[in-house]
Amino acid sequence: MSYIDVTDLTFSYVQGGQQILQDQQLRFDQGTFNVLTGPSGSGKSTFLRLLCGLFPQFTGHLLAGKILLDGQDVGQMSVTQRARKIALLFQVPSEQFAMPTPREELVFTLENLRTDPAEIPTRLERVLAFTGTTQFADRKFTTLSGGEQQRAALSVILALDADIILLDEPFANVDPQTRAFLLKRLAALVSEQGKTVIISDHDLTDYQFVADYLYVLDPAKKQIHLADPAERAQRFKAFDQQKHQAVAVDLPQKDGPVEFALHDFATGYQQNLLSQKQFQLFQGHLTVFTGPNGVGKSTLFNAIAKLQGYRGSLTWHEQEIAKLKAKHYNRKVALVFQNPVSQFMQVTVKEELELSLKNRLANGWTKDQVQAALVDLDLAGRQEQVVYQLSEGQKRKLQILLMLLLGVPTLLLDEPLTGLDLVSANKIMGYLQRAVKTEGKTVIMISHQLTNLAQYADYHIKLDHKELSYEATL
Amino acid sequence: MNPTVLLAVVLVCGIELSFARVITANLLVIIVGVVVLVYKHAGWRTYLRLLLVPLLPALGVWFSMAYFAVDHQLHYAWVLATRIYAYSFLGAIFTFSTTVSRTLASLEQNAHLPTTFVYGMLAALNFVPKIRSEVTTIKASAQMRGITLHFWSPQLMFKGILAALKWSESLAEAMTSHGFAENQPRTHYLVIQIPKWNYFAAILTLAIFQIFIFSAWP
Amino acid sequence: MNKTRNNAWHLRDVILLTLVAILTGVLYFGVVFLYNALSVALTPLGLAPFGNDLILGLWTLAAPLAACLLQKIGSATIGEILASAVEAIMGGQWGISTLISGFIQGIGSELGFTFTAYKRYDMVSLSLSALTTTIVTFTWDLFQQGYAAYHLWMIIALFFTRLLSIWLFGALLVHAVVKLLERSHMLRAE
Repeated sequence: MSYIDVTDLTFSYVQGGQQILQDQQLRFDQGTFNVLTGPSGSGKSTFLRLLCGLFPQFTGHLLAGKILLDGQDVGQMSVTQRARKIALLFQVPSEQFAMPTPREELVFTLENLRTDPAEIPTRLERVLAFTGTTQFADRKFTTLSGGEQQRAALSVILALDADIILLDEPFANVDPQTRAFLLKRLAALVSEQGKTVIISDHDLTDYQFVADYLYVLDPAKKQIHLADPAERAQRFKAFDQQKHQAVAVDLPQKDGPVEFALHDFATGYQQNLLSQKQFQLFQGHLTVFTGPNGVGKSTLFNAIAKLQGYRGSLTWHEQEIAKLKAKHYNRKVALVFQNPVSQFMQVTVKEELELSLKNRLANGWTKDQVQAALVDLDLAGRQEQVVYQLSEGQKRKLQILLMLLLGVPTLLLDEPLTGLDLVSANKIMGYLQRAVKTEGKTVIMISHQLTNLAQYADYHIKLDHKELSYEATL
Repeated sequence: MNPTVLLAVVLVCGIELSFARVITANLLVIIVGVVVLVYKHAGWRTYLRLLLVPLLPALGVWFSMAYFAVDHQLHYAWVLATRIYAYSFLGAIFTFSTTVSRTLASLEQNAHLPTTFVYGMLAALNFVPKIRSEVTTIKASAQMRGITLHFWSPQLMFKGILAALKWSESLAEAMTSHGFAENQPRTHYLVIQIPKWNYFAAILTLAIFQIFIFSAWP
Repeated sequence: MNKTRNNAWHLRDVILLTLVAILTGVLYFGVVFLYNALSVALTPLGLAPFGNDLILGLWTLAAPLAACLLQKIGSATIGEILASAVEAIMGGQWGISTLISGFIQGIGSELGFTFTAYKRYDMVSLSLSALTTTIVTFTWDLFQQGYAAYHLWMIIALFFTRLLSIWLFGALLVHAVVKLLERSHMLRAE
């Protein structure tokens, strides 16, 4: 028997509905660093929640099987016993704290474990120091960056002193420096304290030398398997290559029509994420916008889309955006949200399409064009389906279609390719390129996935160290 | 004073005021309120706010009483107008004596309010900024699709509740993962007690208040 | 979760209702200005109570919404108390009286669902709940707001203004929202 034993595990969210995991067998040894990968939305989070007993306590049905932690059945353990044994760090940094500040969250956690109050201060200082959280321990979470929040979250996990540490896509909103720091700390916890770490991530960059084992979730089989050396090497290599396959792209001619211009511009909720003396974004082009996580790409989009304030000047067609009325401006410059659900207003696919068709602008799509696109994107015949119940990929495709057919002149897309397979991603890029080339639209898109993008993109801008710059490669 | 004891006193006074028709009792509460505020070194803005915010409702009720009461009872008009001020000062006495988290902690430790309620509320209260920005996002997202949402639009509440459903799930999972078990015993780093004098003070305050309520004073 | 109704209050329920209460506060904060404008216009005429009763439905919709979201005994009452606590904390105009009236409103709304034996959460019980909310809060205000001292015609007019407002927001709007939620299958899965 090993440290974590998963036998015959079958799980489904809805009784009689689709199964997420089927007949899963798996084992993890104590004191190992494990990485779990697989496409977004394939069930990695579900598996981690099953391991620590949050499922089926909160959601879903365990149709068969059991999970033993160090010989104990998770289903039989109390909440407090579980918390001491196995801890989970969540994907969305800001949705995992009950208290306003890191220090209060730690006190809350230690009180839950019925820690002797006299011991609390020393334990608290120790974990704060280990994760480098001491200097912002009394600041409100709402003022902390994603990286700082995940440091605090790791402190909480150390305060629990659990043997097993699970991390669910923990770096999605974390800057690269913090990511490297946290990975080093986790590796130290494994090698020095014998902790068992299981981390789920679809991005395998930097794991090659820390991971003892790589596990892969195959959504077709609904099963997780241990990657053999060949698969492991191939998967890690894929991420190395993606990073370096840069292709040359144009630098903009400085005399083209300007869509957006920044002058002495700064934005960010607390600290300035971005401060820019001068920058221009050009009309009628497809611009790809890259940069590390958590540096403020979405924040800039939010400022452009009037979802948040800024300092200095930000203009659209030489008009100050802060002074424009959202009602008219947002029909000309629209944001395709990172979370597709934010775009939906109705309940069924049909209602959503009808809403966009009804409110399309003069150069919006015709019904026939929409129908053809539905077939092309594999969304046909789903008219009566509830949008919230579509798969992640379908939601994404529908979302982009809804915004394209409106005929909005300028579209800002925040990670539009997340959750799409390569075929769908290429189709979406085709639509975006056509919108630019034949309809004269302006498209600016944030993307982490860069495969094949150079063939569609006109320009590439990058945000790093609080500054924007045009890049000659993509 | 202990927040639970204070809350009890304030609530009892508030309920009694609702039924009493004694201007002097209302004035007593206002005077005590001012004394507490002076003692707590409240800023001038607080006084201004306490003076202005109730003004409109107080005037409103005074005028309607003066115009439309069966026998134009001016005394009752003054009772109702000063009562609105008394309520505001009653609230101020409480908020200036303690904080939200201390009150909830005291309700947990002294009044034995179930911890599920205490920490559920505390956790949700941290989401005020997130909820604000979610509402902004919903409205902007609607604009981008060509619709303007008003406060009576069901979509506004619907989309907001969808976010609330997701957040309540995430938070409850996270708190459970941080060892929080519903209504199970916990230790307390900050122990809140009720000193004996609090009981005497509470009884004395309420006793004096009764004299005003049941007196023959106007 | 199983088919039998579960009346225990879980952490998730408390968080949800508090979040919904904050949401209500954020959504309708702007309406306070509307109310103030209305009051200013009505005060010199002595008709300010109509302003109050016209928008009262917005402050009482947390109760029927909570009842429909959780479908537990007591959810309307507890939902409205949580909402009034949130309102008091976030700096509502009326401070401590918010807590007291929240309790009264919650009980009033709850009765509508009690009379339908907690079996239906449709337009019928929502309308009934609007009626019981109106009756209970109005009775309270006969004393608390001194409504009892008014001429009979004014009392009747105020009653129906309030009933209309509570029905529009607490029944019609809540029903529309709940229907959207049900159609989208986003309420807690069986």
